[in-house]
Amino acid sequence: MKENFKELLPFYVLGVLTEAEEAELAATIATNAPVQTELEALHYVVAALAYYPSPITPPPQLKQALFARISSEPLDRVAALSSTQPVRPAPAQRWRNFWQQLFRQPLVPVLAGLSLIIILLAGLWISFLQRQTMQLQGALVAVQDELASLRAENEALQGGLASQYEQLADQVAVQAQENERLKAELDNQSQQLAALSDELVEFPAAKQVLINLAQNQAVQENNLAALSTEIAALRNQNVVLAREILAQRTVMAHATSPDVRVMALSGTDALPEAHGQLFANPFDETAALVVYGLPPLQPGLVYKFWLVAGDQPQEAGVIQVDADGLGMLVVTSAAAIGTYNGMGVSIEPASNTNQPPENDMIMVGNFSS
Amino acid sequence: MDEEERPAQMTATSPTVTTAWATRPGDGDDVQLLGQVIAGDSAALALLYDRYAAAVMGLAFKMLGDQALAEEVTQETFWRVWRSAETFQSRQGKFSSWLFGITRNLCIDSWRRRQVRPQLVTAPAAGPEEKPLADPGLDVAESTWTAIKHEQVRAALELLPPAQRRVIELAYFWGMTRQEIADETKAPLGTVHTRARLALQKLREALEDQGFED
Repeated sequence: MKENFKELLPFYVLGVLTEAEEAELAATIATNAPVQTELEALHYVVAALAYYPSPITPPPQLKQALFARISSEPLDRVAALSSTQPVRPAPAQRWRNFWQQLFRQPLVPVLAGLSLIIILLAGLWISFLQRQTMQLQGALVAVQDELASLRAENEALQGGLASQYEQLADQVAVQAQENERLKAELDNQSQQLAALSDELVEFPAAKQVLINLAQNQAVQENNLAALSTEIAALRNQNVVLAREILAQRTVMAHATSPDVRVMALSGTDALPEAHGQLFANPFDETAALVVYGLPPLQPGLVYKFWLVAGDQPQEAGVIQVDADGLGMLVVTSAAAIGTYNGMGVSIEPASNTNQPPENDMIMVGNFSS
Repeated sequence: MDEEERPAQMTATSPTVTTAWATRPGDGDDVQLLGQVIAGDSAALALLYDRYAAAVMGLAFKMLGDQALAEEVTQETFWRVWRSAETFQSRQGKFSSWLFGITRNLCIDSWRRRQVRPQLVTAPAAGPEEKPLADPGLDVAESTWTAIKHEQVRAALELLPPAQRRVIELAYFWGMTRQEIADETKAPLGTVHTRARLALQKLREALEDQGFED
């Protein structure tokens, strides 16, 4: 077989293969058990196809004609069965002789003919009545069978109906319970909805309160920020004041020391109104400087204090000056103050450290005096 | 009587079938009745007639497109059952398959005698399908079962792609060979093979899903 025989199986069960194809495939199938199983499944499908057309109830006459035909043409196999029954023997020869002798008598043939006609009519009538009776009996049996069948069917239907009714009742009960539960849930939802509606009515007032609170909070936050700034400024101011107090205490300590000497500074021509005093023990390395009349400087510039040894100025600190032009400095020197022979103040860049003065002195003082 | 219950899920994929529980005789009962037919019991044939006549008539009308011819084939089908019941072999298939095979062969013989094949239509126009004649002698339960089976098979066939369904219709209802189907559908022979195989496979699954029992 040229083609895969499995491809032909559908057409085999559909009965549309050629005789040669069918014969060849049948031989293949006969020796292939798995294919036989597959064929059974396909037969199941193909048998169902006959139900695809809409069923058409044949007219009653068709059934009657079929069974009339069956009645008029007995089956050979049934006839064969009947042939085994005994056959009635033929009439005896003496009976034929008797009838021949009788018909030779005068008037007998006429009477016999009339009698025969009467007998035939009676026989036909009896036969007709018998057929009627048989038909009625057959119909009665059929009706009884139909009645029994209908009763059985009725009982089956009633049983099924009762079962379905019970199932339905169970379902109704379950549905009723579910309905109650849903109703309770609905009530609960309704209550929650009512509460939410009430809250919704009060919502505008609550909203305004919240807005006011938010505004107040913003104001308070601004105030807090301002206070924080003020506190920070005050803290810085405190730090400055503390430093000033410390400086003043230091100055006071030097000024009130029994061994202190006071050496004066005077402003040069560049700042003639400036003046000041250095309170120092000549044997100590610390001293207190107080100056007056120093104007505020531009940013990046500071007043620096110098101690002069020989003719070499040594940086001795940066003077802090307030808005009134008062400046103070606790001086720490590398050697005893008495070893220096002079002092001065100049204006220098704040960035300069440990460097000689770039500018001229604006205040000077001489220790020898 | 060998009866078996029908499961409720048979209605799940067939919305037009609403009978949830019912019973009917199985194939074993058909074979039993056929045995009585072989013994000359025409009442047994009458029972088989009541069970299958509507399906046979519907199949014949589908294939012949003519009511008178369909009636002729229906009568001849059951006459052959009466005359040749002893030729049925249960190992080669079910009684219904054998019966519908007789009907199909008679229809094909009818075409050959008249040298005509009816016009290829999916569904006949106005015909007895739309005005079925009521036969009070037919069993109501059997008629209902036939209608249920028809709905199950119709629903299963409607699940098929049109090209696959057409291959099955051309083969089964019009007796076309593979080559004739290929010519009619203008498709290669291999495609016809594939469509037939897939169609029967899907039909089987759909029918099993619906609990169809022949």
